[in-house]
Amino acid sequence: MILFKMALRELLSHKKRSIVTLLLSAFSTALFIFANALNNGTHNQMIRSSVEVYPGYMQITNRAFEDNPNFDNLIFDAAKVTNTLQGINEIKAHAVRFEAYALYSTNEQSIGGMFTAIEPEKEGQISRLKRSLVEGEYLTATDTNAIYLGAELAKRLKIGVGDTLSFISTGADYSFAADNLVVKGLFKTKLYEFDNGSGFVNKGYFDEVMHSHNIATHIIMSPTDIKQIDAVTQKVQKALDEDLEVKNYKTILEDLILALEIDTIFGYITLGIFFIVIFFVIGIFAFLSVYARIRQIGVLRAIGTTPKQVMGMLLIEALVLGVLSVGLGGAAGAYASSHYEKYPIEITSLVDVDAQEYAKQYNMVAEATFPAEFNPPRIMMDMLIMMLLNLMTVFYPIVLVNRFTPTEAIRYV
Amino acid sequence: MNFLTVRNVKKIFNEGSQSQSNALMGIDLSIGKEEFIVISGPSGSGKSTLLNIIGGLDTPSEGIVELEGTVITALGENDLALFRRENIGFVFQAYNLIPVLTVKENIEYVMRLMGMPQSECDARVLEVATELDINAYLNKLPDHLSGGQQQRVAVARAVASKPKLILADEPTANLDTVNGEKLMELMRRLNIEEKVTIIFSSHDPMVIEKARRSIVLRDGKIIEDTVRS
Amino acid sequence: MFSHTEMLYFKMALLHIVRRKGRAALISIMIAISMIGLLLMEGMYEGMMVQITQNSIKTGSGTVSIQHKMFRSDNNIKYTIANPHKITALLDSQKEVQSHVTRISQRALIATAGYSQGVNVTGIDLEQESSHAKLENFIIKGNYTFDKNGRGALIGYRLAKKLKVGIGKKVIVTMQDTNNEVVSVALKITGILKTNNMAIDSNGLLMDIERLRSLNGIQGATEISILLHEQNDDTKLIASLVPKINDQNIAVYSYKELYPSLHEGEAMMQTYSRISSTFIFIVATLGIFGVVLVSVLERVREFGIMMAIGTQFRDIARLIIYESLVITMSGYIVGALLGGGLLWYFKEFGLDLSGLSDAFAIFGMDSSIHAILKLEYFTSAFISVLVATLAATVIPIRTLKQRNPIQSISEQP
Ligand SMILES: Nc1ncnc2c1ncn2[C@@H]1O[C@H](COP(=O)(O)OP(=O)(O)OP(=O)(O)O)[C@@H](O)[C@H]1O
Ligand SMILES: [Mg+2]
Repeated sequence: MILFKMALRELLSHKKRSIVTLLLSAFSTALFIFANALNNGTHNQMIRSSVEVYPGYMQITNRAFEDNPNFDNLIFDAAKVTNTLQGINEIKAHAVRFEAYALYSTNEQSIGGMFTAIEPEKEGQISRLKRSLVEGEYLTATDTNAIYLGAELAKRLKIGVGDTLSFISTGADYSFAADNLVVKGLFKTKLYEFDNGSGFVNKGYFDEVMHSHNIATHIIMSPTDIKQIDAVTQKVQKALDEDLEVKNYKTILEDLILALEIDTIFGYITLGIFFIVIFFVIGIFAFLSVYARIRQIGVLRAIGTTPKQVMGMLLIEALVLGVLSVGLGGAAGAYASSHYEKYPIEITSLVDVDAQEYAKQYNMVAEATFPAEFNPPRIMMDMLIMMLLNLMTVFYPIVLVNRFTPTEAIRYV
Repeated sequence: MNFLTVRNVKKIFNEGSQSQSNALMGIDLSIGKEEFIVISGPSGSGKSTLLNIIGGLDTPSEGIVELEGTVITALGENDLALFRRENIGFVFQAYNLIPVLTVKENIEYVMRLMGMPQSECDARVLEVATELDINAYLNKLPDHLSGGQQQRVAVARAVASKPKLILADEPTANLDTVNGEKLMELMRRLNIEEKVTIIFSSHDPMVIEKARRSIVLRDGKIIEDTVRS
Repeated sequence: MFSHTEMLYFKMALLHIVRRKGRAALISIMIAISMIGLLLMEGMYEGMMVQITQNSIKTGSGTVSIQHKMFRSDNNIKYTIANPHKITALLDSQKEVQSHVTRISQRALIATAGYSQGVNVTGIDLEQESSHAKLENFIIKGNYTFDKNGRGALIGYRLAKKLKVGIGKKVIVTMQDTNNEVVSVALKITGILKTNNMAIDSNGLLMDIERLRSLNGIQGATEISILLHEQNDDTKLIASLVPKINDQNIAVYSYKELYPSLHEGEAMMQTYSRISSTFIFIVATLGIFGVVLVSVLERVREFGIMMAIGTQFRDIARLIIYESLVITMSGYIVGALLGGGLLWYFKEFGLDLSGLSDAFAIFGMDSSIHAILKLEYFTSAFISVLVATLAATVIPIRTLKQRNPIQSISEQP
């Protein structure tokens, strides 16, 4: 108790030093929490948009399709699969797709691109395709000869809503397929390659021209709870026939996730350099404050304070400063995280030229907003780490000061 | 059996190195309870070293120190700290008090470490403070006291926990003659009233006079040990 | 050289440092570590940026690119350079130019037995490309050849993986000719490329330019790509080329315009390191300040005695500055040596991250990062350390003056 009192008075009697230490540590804590929140928030958003624009959280394909994406390796009984999926509560929505390739032609231009059949309503629930409409209308289940076309592709083909184009493709039975299509709507996602190379038609119509009744290349699903996705993936896999394979976004977007991890590592490296310097300075201040008291500590030891008690006193000082600064920094960091979760940082200069260019080059989703993530357990964890760092700063001075015998300490000049 | 026995204590600093110094070269001493002893001798003769070894602040290179049956030279660092806390009070030449604690807190510090209840501490502080006439500034910080006042507080702290032995290394060296004498009178009174054994060192003949038994050191050896009547 | 008294102060400074080596060591180590961290960060990040830029420049559009002015926004083969020879003759006489190549690029459809997708077909001259960017060095499988009959093709490794094609396999490439007729050609894969330029790796097929001409009927070229001896001569070259070409339809671009994200990425990296190092040095200044202040204050009496026997306050200030500089500069030297050594190592041998190479390829990086080592890093760090040290001594020296050292001699210790 008296040691605690002494620790407090010591801090109060060197107010400037204590405040500088406190602010440095509070600042580091806030920075650490916010940097983590921003990193996670931005990465989550990137993953979410990459997933939701088109690929979907989970997909079913024929097991052989990945190695041999040809029409011998399809889902040949899509209805059976969708019936099974209907019975799984953890699956919120699902949609059937047939991805094919076609050469789109107008009078002037022929351009190859994805030619994909979707179930318009169900697709709307699962990807952002419907929401990405920029002109005209989205598809319906009764549409025939109507195509929902990527805006960039339309630009290259020099056509707009209401114009006609023709396609040539290969049907599911390898027959020749060709027809005329009217552009019903144009979409623009943030995925450039996608907008630049794909068109969608209603599956009912597609099945007629491509001979693909009840056949699909992909069945896309979204889970009720994304956190449970690995368990749900396993569950669905078990419910399906052996020749079908279920994958979730972690595998589908492996490269992106790995790239984001590398980005995180680089972030930590920079933060690490900051923290080394900051905690060096905090440590130096602790060191100076202990050294200024060596004689006093010698007297304390002489009149019966044990080295452990001396250590306790110094630790209490660090602890008090730590609790205050980490609390303060934690509150600031948490506030910033929750604020920027609701109102993401916007870098408007990036919106047009740069993000577009970047997205084109790396085929990533272009985002101009950088949201943070407000995640209390994570923030607590960050605060704990900072608390430990704070305590670590007094270890060197403690070790040093306990090396002195009481007489040496009293004689210390 | 003696209260305090010092047997063949030698202290060699930096043994084997160029700066080796033989601070104590075989000290034998028997000290009884409630004695009031001064150790004098020229600078560098080993006074501080001897007091430190008796108080368990330093360990001898050879020999033993025994206080009421406890061989303190055989204790480990932690036990020594506890031993000092229970049995020995220290008064140093300067830099004695803990600057962040008030006078009262300084005095009760050791008792608090020993886990004495607050009410008992308060009573004892009052008692000692009255005895030493420092009541007026119990709630002040040491910085605001004069050197003589500070030394009296230091004596109060040393005596408050009722140690068996008080060691004071040149307690008057930083004080003027008047204050020095006052402090000595005080310690003498405590010696009688509190029945505590006191050993102190000094250069000052006026101070040395006050002691009943006088031990003189030179070059790490006792050259004189006289008891005045 | 230094005067006699100067040397004396210097010696005194050294002695003081030795007396308080613990805190001096802390400051030195802090500076050394932050130097190492900053050097590595700057050097490695810049190395990465240069690598990304170089990968895009070398195998892509070059430092300077000449195209039809419409081609960039609309990759239509209508927009060609009608008479490339005239321009290449001009280039041969420009001394800034290291090499140049003439290419034809066109969007096409690539198909294997059961799968097809869009592809960027580029017609090239193997010999030209070899002396231009040593394209043969990017071959990871197969050979740098189009076979004697010119029916061979080189494709990007990601594309090869997606199409499941290896060396010797046939692919069908379908495109439009200048008469808007659809034409097809069967090509045999002769080599697989890994350039870490995503445009080629995941979307590119290279074929013989003459064969492509005979197929699509283009007589000119879509692009002339130029590499320079000095990358920074781009604007100079463009300024001198444009009037010489004197053709309203031809545009000359710098890589900065073609890859704005790379260019801005570089600028952003630089700003980022500048902000980081400023921040780090501000924090470090605090640490230095704390140490200087304490070591000044504990010596007020000592300085008082020096002044009493005739030392000017100016000289005492100098002593304090020397002392601080010796401590911080020794940290600087250690940091510069170690950090510089590490950077040199990474410059020569690279930092091998082959385990993550796929993820790095997404960013356009190789699996091994080669650091950049610039004298500028060291000079700017030197100035920062110097400024930080001087700034850190200002307040302690002022405080010392206020304490009036001479008077303090007579005060209680
Ligand atoms: N920690 C130490 N390291 C090395 N030598 C020491 C140490 N402490 C004391 N000495 C040496 O031991 C001898 C005795 O010193 P001590 O301090 O006991 O003398 P003293 O009688 O108290 O002197 P003073 O009257 O000046 O206080 C001296 O020669 C001194 O140099
Ligand atoms: Mg002494």
